[in-house]
Amino acid sequence: MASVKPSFFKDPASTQSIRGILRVVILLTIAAASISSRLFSVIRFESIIHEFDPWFNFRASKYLVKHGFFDFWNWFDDRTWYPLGRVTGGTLYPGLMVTSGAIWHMLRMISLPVDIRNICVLLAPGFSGLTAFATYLFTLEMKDSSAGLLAAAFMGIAPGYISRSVAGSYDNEAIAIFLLMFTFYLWIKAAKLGSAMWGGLCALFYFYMVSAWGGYVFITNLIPLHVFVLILMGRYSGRIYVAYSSWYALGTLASMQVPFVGFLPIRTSEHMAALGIFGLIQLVAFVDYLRGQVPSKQFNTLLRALVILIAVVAFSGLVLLTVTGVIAPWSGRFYSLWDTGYAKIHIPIIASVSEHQPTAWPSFFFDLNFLIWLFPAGVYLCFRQLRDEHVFVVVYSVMASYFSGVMVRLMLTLTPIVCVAAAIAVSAILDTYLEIDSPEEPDPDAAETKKAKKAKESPLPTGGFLSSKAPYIGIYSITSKIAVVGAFSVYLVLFVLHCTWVTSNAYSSPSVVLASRMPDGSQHIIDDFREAYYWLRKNTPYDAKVMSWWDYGYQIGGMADRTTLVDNNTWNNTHIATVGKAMASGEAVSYEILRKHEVDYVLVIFGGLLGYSGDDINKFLWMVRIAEGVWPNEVQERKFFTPRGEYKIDHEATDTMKNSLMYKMSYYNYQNLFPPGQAQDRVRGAKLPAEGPVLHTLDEAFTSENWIVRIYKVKDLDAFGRDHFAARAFEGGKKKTRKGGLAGRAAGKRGRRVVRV
Amino acid sequence: MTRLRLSSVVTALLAGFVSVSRGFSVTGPRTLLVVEEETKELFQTLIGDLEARGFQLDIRSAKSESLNLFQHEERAYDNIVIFPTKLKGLGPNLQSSSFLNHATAGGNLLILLPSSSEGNIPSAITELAGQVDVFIPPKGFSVVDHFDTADEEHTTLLVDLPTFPDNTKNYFASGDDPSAKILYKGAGLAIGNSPLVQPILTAPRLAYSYDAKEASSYADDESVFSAGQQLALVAGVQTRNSARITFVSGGDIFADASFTKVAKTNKMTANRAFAKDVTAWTFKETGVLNVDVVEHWGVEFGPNIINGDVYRIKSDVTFSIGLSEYKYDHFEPYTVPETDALQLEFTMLDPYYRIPLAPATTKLGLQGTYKNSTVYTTTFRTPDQHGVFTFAVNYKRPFLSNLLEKRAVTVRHFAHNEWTRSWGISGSWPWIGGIWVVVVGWIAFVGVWLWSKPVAPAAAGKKKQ
Repeated sequence: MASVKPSFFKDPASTQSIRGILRVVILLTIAAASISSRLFSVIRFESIIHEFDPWFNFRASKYLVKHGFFDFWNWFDDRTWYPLGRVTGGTLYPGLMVTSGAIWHMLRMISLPVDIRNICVLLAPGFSGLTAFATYLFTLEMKDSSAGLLAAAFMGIAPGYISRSVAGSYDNEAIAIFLLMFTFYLWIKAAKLGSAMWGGLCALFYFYMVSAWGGYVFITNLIPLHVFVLILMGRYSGRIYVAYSSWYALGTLASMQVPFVGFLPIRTSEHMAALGIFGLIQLVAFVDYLRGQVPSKQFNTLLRALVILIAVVAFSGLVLLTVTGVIAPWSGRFYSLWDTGYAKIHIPIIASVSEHQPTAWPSFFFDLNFLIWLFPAGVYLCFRQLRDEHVFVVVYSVMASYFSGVMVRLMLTLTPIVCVAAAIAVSAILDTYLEIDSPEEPDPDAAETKKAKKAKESPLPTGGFLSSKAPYIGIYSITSKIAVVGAFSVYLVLFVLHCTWVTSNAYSSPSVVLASRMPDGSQHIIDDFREAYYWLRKNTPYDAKVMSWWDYGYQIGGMADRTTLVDNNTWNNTHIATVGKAMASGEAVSYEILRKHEVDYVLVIFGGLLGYSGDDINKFLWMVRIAEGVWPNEVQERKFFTPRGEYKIDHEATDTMKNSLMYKMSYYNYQNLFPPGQAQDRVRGAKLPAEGPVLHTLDEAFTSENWIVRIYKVKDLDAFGRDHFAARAFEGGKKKTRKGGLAGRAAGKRGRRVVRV
Repeated sequence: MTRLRLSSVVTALLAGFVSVSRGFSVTGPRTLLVVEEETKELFQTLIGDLEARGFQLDIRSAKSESLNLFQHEERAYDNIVIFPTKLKGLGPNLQSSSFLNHATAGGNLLILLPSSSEGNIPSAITELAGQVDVFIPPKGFSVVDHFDTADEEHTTLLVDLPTFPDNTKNYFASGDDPSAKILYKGAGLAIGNSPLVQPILTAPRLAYSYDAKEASSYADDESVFSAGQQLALVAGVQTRNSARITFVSGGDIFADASFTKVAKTNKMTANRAFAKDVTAWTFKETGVLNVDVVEHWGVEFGPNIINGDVYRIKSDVTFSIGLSEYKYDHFEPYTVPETDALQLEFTMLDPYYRIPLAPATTKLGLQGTYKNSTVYTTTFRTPDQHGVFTFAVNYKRPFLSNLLEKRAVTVRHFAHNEWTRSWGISGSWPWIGGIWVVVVGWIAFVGVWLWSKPVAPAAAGKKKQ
């Protein structure tokens, strides 16, 4: 009794090709949307590399295309970390630069000589399209293609991912998120099929990921965790064994080929989980094999005991090796993942980075909008089916949720799984409510047909929870359908509006160029950074050494092309502390440090005139703390606070503060901009003393238009052997200040005779 | 590389050309004599001698209004001589700061202080002296020696020619007669501990400087300014940029009146020769070092790649430096005194090596073209530490112009293909052997597996699985 006549649109067989084409078109549209929404920064500003780290990546890419791959591999950079230098080729993740280098060569091969800068600027948007595609594939494995398309769309425009992938944000994350999702997709595929080929492909992309981003450790731990959970659930199978063994063996060997990683996979605690699970799965496989051969129940118990025993022995062996130092203990960054207060006390250099701070709650909504409350629903839906791949989603969700709460930057790893889970939830809702035909009266036959059709559309697996096997219960009321579907359409539209707004307003600023609004509403560009860097490039000798706080190291190297002492690759804490000490000490101490490091220019960022709050005076306490960590007797944070414990820069500032080089360089000559006694710092909202600081050992060389960047030249030693304080005093007209000793005698007064030796 | 060579050749030729065409002071010939008419009469011989040596003299009074040490922000004179004066001040154009600026710009100064205890010392001179750690006693002081004097008041002294330790070259005793004495009358100088100032002539051991007016009958500790070897009569200052300032505490030492015979011994005084030595040193006719050539290369490649920017850790490097010394009108090879050493430092923040440089026996590279220089050289192995290192030759000796030659080079790590290959390390043989045994074993196993015919019923069971 075929009462239900299948309509044209609902017949899967007849619409297969149309669906295929539609899918491709939709995916292409999603890719186009995700790329174009990332171009706000180019339209608003210009095609420029953003922020800090991208400047280094850009410089490294230029080096790569200029000198070739092998020179890049062996690159010893003598223009940073003066005079230590940096073995750059061996201490970076080359994936990003090699990718853009390959694209550059490919385009040249087809006679399209594109400037490497344009490739660097547009790499992140380009890869965001691929990320959307990878998310589609991943979600396809979880549910169906409609969920996949939704996930791809979410991923394409979610601000949590856009924050790191706008045009110009040429950072490792730009390609790493694509690699992360694609590696996970391949892993799910390998685990589903038990195929060594998919496992090998997974290992290959894992290698690409390792070469591209330090966050590969997330994969290194998540896949073993997935396997471990599956084993604990009693879901061990030959498929898991094949997939994991092939991924681990090939992936680890491949990852060790990256110079920066080297032997880390077998020497550090972060990688031990993967190794342990590899051992465990061998044991489990062996026991499984034996169990098939030997049916005795007692023997089974014995085997289980054996497995547990070996696991315990292996674990204690691991602990022992860690204690004795064969395996490197957990790194500080790792500890700070568990204890958010750890870094602030022990490793100020990590805590001083804003993206290592714990995430504020509003930023979850800001970055993910309505996805964040659909996320638990999607995870719940995974629980309902709970095939092996759904376990993966659950594990991923739990881990990523925790980590994203600890560190702002790890929001990035949370975003993909939120998009996937939310897409599963939304598509489940739409599947239920978008059914145009209401189910007919309960009729055994009809119900049967329905069930069969449903099974055809999205083949549900056997297994899972009982609830998933419940008979199909449809939605009968048109009103509820319209209400729910309408509500979700509104949510989706709001989501798109929110994403566009966030992208254009919050995440598209290059931070090298600042934008402000004039009173008439027009945009005013503040370009002090480039002005100053360009001044350095044009007015200083090529081998001049510029000292600045490490935040600006990459930018000076990239834009000014001058040698720096420290930069954002914070590999040497002592060297950074030396710069911190030079900034925090008085001139006499600082001058010694500057001379010893052959510093020619000192650069400070000062926001007091414009109200730019990210300036060096606000970062100053971190410099003090980092210096104090190395020289606790010479630099003390306490001395920079007033007796009441306040951080002041006005007349209440402590003498240590007022005499520090940083304070002097920031406020030198600043009072001359104002009427006497009216000097005002607009960041700290404080009135400055009428008399400004005096500099003895430095000369002001350059101050940018809005005083954001100030550059000082270090004076040479005095030609007549005097110290700079005496020389300045003499120039200032105090010609007879020297009292006592020989000078006193020469002036006809009594004085102690000094014997020349 | 070629460009480098060519440019250094051109520089050398230019340097040779310039020195030949000039033939006097390294600084230059333009010399200002600040002297009043009546004083000028007393120094005719000195002025004549300077003129004869090729200095272009510009004799001006301190009162001259058009006198300016700088013109268009450039040094107007190379050398300045301030003669003793009766004036209390030197006028607005000759301030202590203008003298300091003159020296900062590389110009030299010779300051003759009055011999008479009644003479005035302009405040500009006192201030200048104070800035370079030289101290001039106030008016009324004079040096006396009760044991070896030439007059009744014991204020005219006969001083031996200066002597210096073995490791210091003596530029101030070039007269024919080494036993000749210098006739001296003046107030003396005290000098501080600045390394830039050196006493050229010190008082005899038993001489002292005291205020003859205040304590005419006897000198106590209060009235004595300084005594013995601590009391300098002539002091030379060499600034960090190798400009020279010389203070002569008794200006009459260079006056015509002093170029006579000593009554007691009936021998000529050494004053005239000493005047020549002091002016020659002050105006940089002597004691000027020149670096003709600096070359370094990796021993591996030899002098084919000279002065490259990059070396590898643990590689042998040869460094050589060619030095010559200026002597009145020509450069001649400079030889380091036997008790002294020329050292090379290989520095990154702190010196990693400090190696003595030895005269080269065979000249390589470009050094052959420098006939007038002594080439010092050494070969050493770079340390096992990468970074930006500096070849530094820091040779600062009394009366020699400062020599600080720095060349920064990069010392890089081993490149990926510079390590010993795996088969070159004997310890790796068991592992390499292991790999090949596994490979061969696996292929053999596959071969055996494929070629061995299974027993029929067992094969069926296997297939099903």
